[in-house]
Amino acid sequence: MDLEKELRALHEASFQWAMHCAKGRRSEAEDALQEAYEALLDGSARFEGRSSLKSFLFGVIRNKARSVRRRRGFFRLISFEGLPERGREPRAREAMEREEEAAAIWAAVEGCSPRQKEVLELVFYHDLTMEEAAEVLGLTIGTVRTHYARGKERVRRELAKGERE
Amino acid sequence: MNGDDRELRELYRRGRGEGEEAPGFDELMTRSRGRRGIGGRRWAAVMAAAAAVLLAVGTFGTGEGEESGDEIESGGAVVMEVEMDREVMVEADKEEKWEELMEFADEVWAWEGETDFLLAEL
Repeated sequence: MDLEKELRALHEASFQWAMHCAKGRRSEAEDALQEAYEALLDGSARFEGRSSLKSFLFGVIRNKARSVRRRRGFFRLISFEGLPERGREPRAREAMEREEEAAAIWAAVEGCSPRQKEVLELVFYHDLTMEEAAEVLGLTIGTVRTHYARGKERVRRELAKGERE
Repeated sequence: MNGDDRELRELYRRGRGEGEEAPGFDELMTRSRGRRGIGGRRWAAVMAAAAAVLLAVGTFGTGEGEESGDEIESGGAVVMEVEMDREVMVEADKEEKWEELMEFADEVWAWEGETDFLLAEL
């Protein structure tokens, strides 16, 4: 396998996943993605072919994004910059214009738990199977199915509520 | 995926949009990385000092000879990060500061049965 070639082919999808993991913070997403690529290319994260490269890579990206966020969060405290304000960094999605229905959908999704959002993102946007999503998230397949079912239920419920109002 | 799920998926994708444009692969690999956290030795020093520091309301210290007493402008939330075993833990007065911490953290969990620590992602 030409690993770099495969990574390049997955680059667009990988970046979108990194942005999701970094909650729209582009610089963190780029750091995480860069670190993930380096880990695969230098062998510190070794893909052994037990799953798809995409799900393996997404799992590495997710872990790197968490590390990046933790480092930055701690640095802010140590530097006495104070705790971050909520919503201080504009998210990619908020900058986009959307139809009213699309906005309602996204508002419904935003009401889901972080785990549910991850599962929905992986399955609905990145077309991963439940098994692949479970590998990315380090969860059992049963747990992923539960998050998926609850996430969908929540979105449907919120949409129905919005239609009644 | 059944029909209902497919419909929901299309709605999801429409709501999500395409997202930001990705940087080029080569451009990404050659960029200088963003600001990093502190290195390993300083982590060890901070952790050792932090282990001996009691959390007081409105103060925290770095454990590196700097005076504690600086208040975080956070509306009163008092947190101190201690890295142990590569997990970031936030020590807080759970009863008083849980709600305040929830305001600032993206995700908060109780730390595996330990009642004195909260794991938070800020």
